[in-house]
Amino acid sequence: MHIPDGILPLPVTLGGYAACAAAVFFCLHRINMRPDPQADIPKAALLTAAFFAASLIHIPIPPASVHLMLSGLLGVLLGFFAIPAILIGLFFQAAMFGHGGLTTLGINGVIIGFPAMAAHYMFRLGTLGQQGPKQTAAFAFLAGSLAIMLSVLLFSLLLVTAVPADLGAAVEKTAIVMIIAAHVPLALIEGAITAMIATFLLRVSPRVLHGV
Amino acid sequence: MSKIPGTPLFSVKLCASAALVFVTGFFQPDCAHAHRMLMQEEGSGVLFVYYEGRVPAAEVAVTLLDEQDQVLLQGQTNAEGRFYFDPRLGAGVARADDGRGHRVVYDLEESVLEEGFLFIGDEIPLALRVALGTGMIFLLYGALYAWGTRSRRKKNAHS
Repeated sequence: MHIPDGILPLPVTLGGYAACAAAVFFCLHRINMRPDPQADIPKAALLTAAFFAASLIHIPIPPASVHLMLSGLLGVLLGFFAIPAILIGLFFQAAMFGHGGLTTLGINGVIIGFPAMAAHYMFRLGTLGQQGPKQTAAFAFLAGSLAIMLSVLLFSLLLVTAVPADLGAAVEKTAIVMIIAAHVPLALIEGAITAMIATFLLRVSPRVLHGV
Repeated sequence: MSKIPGTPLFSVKLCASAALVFVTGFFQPDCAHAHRMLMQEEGSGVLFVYYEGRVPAAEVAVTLLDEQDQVLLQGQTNAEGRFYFDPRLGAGVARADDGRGHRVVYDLEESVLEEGFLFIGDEIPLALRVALGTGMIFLLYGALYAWGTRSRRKKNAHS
């Protein structure tokens, strides 16, 4: 779901950068309001590195193939650190793997970062006042899956509205349906991963899970 | 490690096993690759379009353009990811698009793939690029942490 350079029109890339800049400003403002803004920096560093490397894990789902994103996990564990962390991860993915691009950094940040924040809010609202393992697992699963499906929907919307394709409309429609279908198993896998990690942290170190 | 009471679905052992599988799977060369679309010339008039890992990109739209960006030929790759064309057309650039956000441009005159200007290149081994990227991420966060700590100390000293 990383859009490379040279595909999107200039107004769309600029709009992506503007939206991301606003989101980063808001997130940094919320982080600065905390008593200790740097407390979660080590956690953010670890999860950014995991996000960076996760795109290398390739899951063949015939006839397409997908890669892990862990955006839901970042949203659940990092909260307002998620969008800056994802942007840093995307930058290094573009630099080291050629995955994505510099001009599309903003729009890729929107596609992956905004659903991560949605996952964060879903997890927070779902576990408000109730921190049992079942609720944590259930809402972490939903948050992890939701992040992937929202990213797929945003990506598909962008493909349809903003990407001039060399393909005919019917072929492009089929390609988009295939993308959505291929990411349903990924959403379930990422939901499971998020649920496992959240439940594990709830047992061994709840502060890591609820510190955001 | 035994199952912790109160966690009917997931135990510490299960999570540790899953983490081990996850990490081990990452180091399998077949699993660990990014997901770019690439193109190369296989002789005169034959283009091979594939995803990273040499997975053929079937039914991908290919467009041949001249130096003035005029379309000379449009078609699709076959099931083996190959596109055949007449080299006498005089195409300067070949562009492939799979309709799923992957697009690649190949300069037929220079026989060179046009990469993003940020990408450091495939010549550097993947493991080294992962290590470099991870190291730079930790360095960046470390610098942020140090800067933040220093700013707080200054602020506390003045107050």
